Amino acid sequence: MELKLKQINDDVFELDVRGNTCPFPQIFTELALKRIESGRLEVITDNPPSARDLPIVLKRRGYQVELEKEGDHWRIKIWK
Amino acid sequence: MVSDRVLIINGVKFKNHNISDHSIATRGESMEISIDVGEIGKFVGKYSLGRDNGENSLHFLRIKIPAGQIDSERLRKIAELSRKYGKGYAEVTDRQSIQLHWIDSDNALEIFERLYEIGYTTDMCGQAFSGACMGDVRNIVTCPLSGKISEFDVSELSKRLTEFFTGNPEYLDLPRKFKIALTGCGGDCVRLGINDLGMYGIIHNGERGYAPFAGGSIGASFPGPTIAKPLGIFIPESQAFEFVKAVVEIHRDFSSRESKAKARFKNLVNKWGIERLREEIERKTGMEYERIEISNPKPSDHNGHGIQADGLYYYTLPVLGGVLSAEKLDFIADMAEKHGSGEVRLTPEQNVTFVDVSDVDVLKRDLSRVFEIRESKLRYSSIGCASNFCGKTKEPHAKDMLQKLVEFCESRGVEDVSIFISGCRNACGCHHVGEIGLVGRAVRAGNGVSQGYDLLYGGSFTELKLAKIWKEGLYGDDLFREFEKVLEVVRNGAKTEADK
Repeated sequence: MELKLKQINDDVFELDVRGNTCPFPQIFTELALKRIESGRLEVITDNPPSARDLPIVLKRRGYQVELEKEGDHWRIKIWK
Repeated sequence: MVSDRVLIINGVKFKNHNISDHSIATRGESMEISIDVGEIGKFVGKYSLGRDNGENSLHFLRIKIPAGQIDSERLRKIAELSRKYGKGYAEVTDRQSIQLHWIDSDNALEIFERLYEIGYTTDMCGQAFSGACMGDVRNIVTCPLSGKISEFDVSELSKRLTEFFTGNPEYLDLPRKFKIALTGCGGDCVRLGINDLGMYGIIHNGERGYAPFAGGSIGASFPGPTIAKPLGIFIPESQAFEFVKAVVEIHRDFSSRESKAKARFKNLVNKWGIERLREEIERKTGMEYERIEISNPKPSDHNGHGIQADGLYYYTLPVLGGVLSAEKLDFIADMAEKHGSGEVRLTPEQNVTFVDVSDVDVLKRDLSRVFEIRESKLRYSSIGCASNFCGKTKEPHAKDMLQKLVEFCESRGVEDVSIFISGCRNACGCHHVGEIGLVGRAVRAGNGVSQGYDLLYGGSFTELKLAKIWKEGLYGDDLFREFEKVLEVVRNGAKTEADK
C-alpha cells in the first residue's frame, strides 16, 4: 500500500487520508512527516475523531498545528 | 530519504517494517511522492479504533470474536492487552465481541500486531464519518451453542462469512454497517429481528437450511426502529453463503448514499418491500428459492446449564452488563481448561458459556470464588450499553442504571424479568425490544439538566414486537416509582399496541 504525498507549493505537501479511520490518519501523518522532514504538511481527513486527536498528538510532539473545516472534511496544517 | 528498515512510531518499534525508497514523479508542475507503508498495510481495512468520549477514554478497541467462540489461549492474550493498554477492564458486547477502553492511539500498531498474531481483527468503526460510507459487516451474532446441542452447526457459516468479509475491499465501504445473526438451535437466541439479516436455521422437509428475516434495525435512523420481516423463502445450507453475500452486495449497491440517516438496509427494505428484495436476491444468485410459510421463531436462550449432544454439559455464567476484567478473563480461561475443553462461548446477552463441561456443580463451585452467581433471568438476560464511555450519558450511565434497577428488583423479590438499557437513541442496549426498556435523554431539572430515561415496556425480539413508551424523561425517585409500576404491569402480562 502506498501513500501519495503531493507537493502543492514550495515546501508545502498535501496528504489525503480520507476514508481512513483511527489510528491510520495519525500513523500516515507521522510517516509523511518523517519523509518531508522540513516544510509544511497539510493533511486532509474526513474522520471526526482524527480531527479531534491529531492536533493534540502533534502539538505534544512539538509541531504547530492549524485545523480548518472545508465542507465535509478537515484540513490540518502542520509545521515545526 | 527515509532509510529505516525498522519503523519507530511514537517510540514503538514496529518489527520487520519495510519502507521502500520513494519514487518521485512529476505530473505537470506538481510533484508527487509515494510512500510505501510496508507491513502496516496488512492492518488497513481490518483494524480500527473507535471513538470514546467518556471516562477519560478517547478510543475503544472492539475485538471481533468470530461466532463468539474463544479458547483459553486467546482469552489470556486479550487479558494481557487489557492489562497493558486498557486499565485491566474488558466488556463482552451484545454482538459477542470483547471491547477494551482507554486505548492510546500511540499503542495501536503494537496492539494490532498482537491481535494479528492470534488471528483476530476489529470492527472498522466507520460510524464517525458524517456521510453514508465506510460501513462494514459487524461481528456475526451466532448461536452460542452451535455444534453442541444439535448437528446444525451454524458457526461454520458464521466463520466462513467473517473470513470472507473481513478486510475485503469490496465490502469495506458499505453505505452503513451491516449486522447479521445466525441461529440453528431451533429458537431465536440471537435477536434475529433486530439485525439487517437474521438467518433462522430450520429443518425443512428433512433438509437443513435457513429462513431469512431482513431489514431489522432499532436505531434512530430512517425510517425509525424496525423489526426484520420474513422473506418467506427457504435457503438450503449449501446455498447460504452465496445468499448472504448477495444480500450484503444489494445493501452495498442499492442502499441510499444520500445521507447517513437514510443509509441503513432497513430503509431499502422498507422502500422496496419484501417481494422486490426477493426478486433482486434471486436475480443476483441465479436461484429460485422455495417459498415457505414461517412463523416467528420461538424464544430461546442457553442460560443455566444443559446437556450437549455428546453427553457433556454446558454452563452459562451470568455477567451483568458484560463487565469483566483482565483478571476475570484469565480466571475464565483457567476454568475453561480445568472443567472443559478450554473453549468458551460469548453470548448475545453478554454472558459467558462454558462448553464440554464434565461436572457443572464443581465448575460452579470454582467460579463462585470470583463471581457472584445469581442465575436469574434478570441477571442473565438484561443488557446495558457502554454509554459511560461513548459520552452519550451523564451519571447515572446505562450500566450503572442497570445495576441499580437489578438491585431494586431483587430487593422486591423480582427476578423473572429482563431490562434492556440504551444510553441514547442509537439503541445499542436494544431498549426497543426489551421486556422493560430504558433509553437515556437529558431532561430539565430545576435550573439545570439531569440525566433522565424514557421508560418502555412490552417489547420482545423473539415475537418481533417493539416496546411501547410508558413515560418519558424520568429521573431520580420518579424513575424508580414508575419503574415499579411497569414492573407490575409486565409481570401481569403486558399488552402493547402491537398485541391489540
